Amino acid sequence: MAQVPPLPFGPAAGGLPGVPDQLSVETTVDQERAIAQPGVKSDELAGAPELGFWRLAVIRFFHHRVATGALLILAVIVLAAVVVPVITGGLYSIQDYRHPYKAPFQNWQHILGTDDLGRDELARLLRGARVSLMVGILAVVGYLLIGGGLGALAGYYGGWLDNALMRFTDIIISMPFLLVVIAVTAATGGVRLSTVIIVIAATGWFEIGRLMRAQFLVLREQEFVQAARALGASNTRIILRHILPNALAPIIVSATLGVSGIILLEAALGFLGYSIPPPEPSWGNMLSDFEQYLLSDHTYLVIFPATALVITALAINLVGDGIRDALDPRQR
Amino acid sequence: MSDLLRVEDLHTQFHVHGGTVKAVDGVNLTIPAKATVGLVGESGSGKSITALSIMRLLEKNGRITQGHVFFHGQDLVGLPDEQMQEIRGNDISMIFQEPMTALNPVFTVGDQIAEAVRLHQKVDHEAGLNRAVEMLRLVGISDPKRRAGQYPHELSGGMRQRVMIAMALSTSPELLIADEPTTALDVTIQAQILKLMRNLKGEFGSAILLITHDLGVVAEMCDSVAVMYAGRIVEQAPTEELFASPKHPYTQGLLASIPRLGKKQERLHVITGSVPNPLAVPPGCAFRPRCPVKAPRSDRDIPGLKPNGSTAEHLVACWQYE
Repeated sequence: MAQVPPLPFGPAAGGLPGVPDQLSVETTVDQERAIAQPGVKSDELAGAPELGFWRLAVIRFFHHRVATGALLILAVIVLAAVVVPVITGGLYSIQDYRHPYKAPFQNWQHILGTDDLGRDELARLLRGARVSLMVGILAVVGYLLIGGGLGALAGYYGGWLDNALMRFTDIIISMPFLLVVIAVTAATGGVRLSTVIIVIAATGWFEIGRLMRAQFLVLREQEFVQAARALGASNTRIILRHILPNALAPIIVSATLGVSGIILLEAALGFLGYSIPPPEPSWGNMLSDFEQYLLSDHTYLVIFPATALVITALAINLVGDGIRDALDPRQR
Repeated sequence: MSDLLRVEDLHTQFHVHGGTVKAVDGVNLTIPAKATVGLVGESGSGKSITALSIMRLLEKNGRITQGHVFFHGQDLVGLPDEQMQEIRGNDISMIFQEPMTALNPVFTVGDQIAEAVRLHQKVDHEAGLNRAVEMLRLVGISDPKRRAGQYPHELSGGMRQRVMIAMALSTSPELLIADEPTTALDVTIQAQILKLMRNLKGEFGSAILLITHDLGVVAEMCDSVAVMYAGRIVEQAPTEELFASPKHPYTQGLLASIPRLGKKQERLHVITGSVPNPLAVPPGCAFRPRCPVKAPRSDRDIPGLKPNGSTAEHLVACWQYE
């Protein structure tokens, strides 16, 4: 260590009279620690819980009454859709010609009545819920994989890759969704649920893709990314471990809201006869089967699937809004 | 002393709208093992870019166009990325100016230090965490076990910089590059952090390249100093030598512009003019437009860094001594 002659400036300039020279050059590491500790102690909040970002978000979410209620309703719908059809088995397709159009809320055997072929309406609704939720979730997973992956690559690497991927995105955005569904259905020889899921995922990922790209564009310039690189982290590691967890909040919100959008889309396709083929029920094809009853008798056959659709979509949207508020309290 | 790092004729250029910026324009710098070398200069003089060039962490539009960076005799320029990743964080670590943003907000500091260790050593997370707690204790953080479980936002700026230092030193690197490590901290914390670095340097035996614009920090910390101006080193000398007898007009101006306690001054000394536009550096010596000496030849030719001081280690790039 160079013995620098005392300079008439700087923090080590001999100390001002009356000021304890705590920080003089001569203290040892241990003394330094001893000095550091009282200051450290003073800013401790005794007993204050130490909570991470996600724990705090969960707490904020459950302080949000509407969102919590919506989550509860959604949980009931999901649980019923998953569990009940397992118990009732093929009930949704059992036809009872002696009891068609049984009105709802009349007896326990068919709480929500029966349809034109005497099939139990509740069983069909729950079976339809399965279809809706499955399409919603699988297609959103597709959004996340395609949009998330491409967006992350475009945002992180930038340059020509970004340009190419963004132009590709522009092409996807300009695709006529309905025509694609019809064309793919025709080309693959029939109406299939997998077609619906794949086409929705393949044409709808751009929003999450752009969101992810925007996140990565901002985050890759952050100093902690530079610091991670300086520590010897690889690109893959930086993308997955350092940037992705920081980019997730808006992606989660967008994906949640995406599920309800997809469910409505699937219902529309079902209504047009391009979703799951009969006798499998979906909310969309239930609506189209009984649309003529809307303003006459048996209105319930339209009301029930429509209500199920609206309640589910609304619950998902409210949960999504709750997540948004929980993840970014400033945005309220 | 053997040389740990030898930078030879390093040129780094950036392509921007309007042309090419020669951010680093022929830097020569030697860091002996276990030494502390200061790199001073004003904003935009190329100090940070020199450091980032050594680490090969330049932005995409920046490129090392010429020169070598020898670390243990191995040229880092042109080394494959995988090997460079091995060296980063393991043999050469870096700490940054802003402790507020240099830590990942979604992980606990313990996890982050453990990760830094595990990037270079084959240990499990448990061992990494133990090392993290040990490092936090070493950098003077009380109750390190509890602190390791906290998130960056729960720590003060000074503590975060301690965490950064703990992270950088967790692999016992031979060279620590500190890019203005105290600029963002308030003065009392600055002094603590500087002293911590000096003490830990003794314990870990790392050499330090300290980048700063604060000559007071240099005086306290460094064995030798290099002064940068417009991408070039204009003077290099052992610290006391430089402060006692600065040779380059720029260094003289810098030292004269420091306020002194106890000496009543109406105005501080000012170096007239401003740093040249990096897109249009004048021919010859870049400092000439602001230079009080304006030595002959300096309008045409760039002066080389030569021993012109009282000792062989005192190098200066100025035509007035030719």
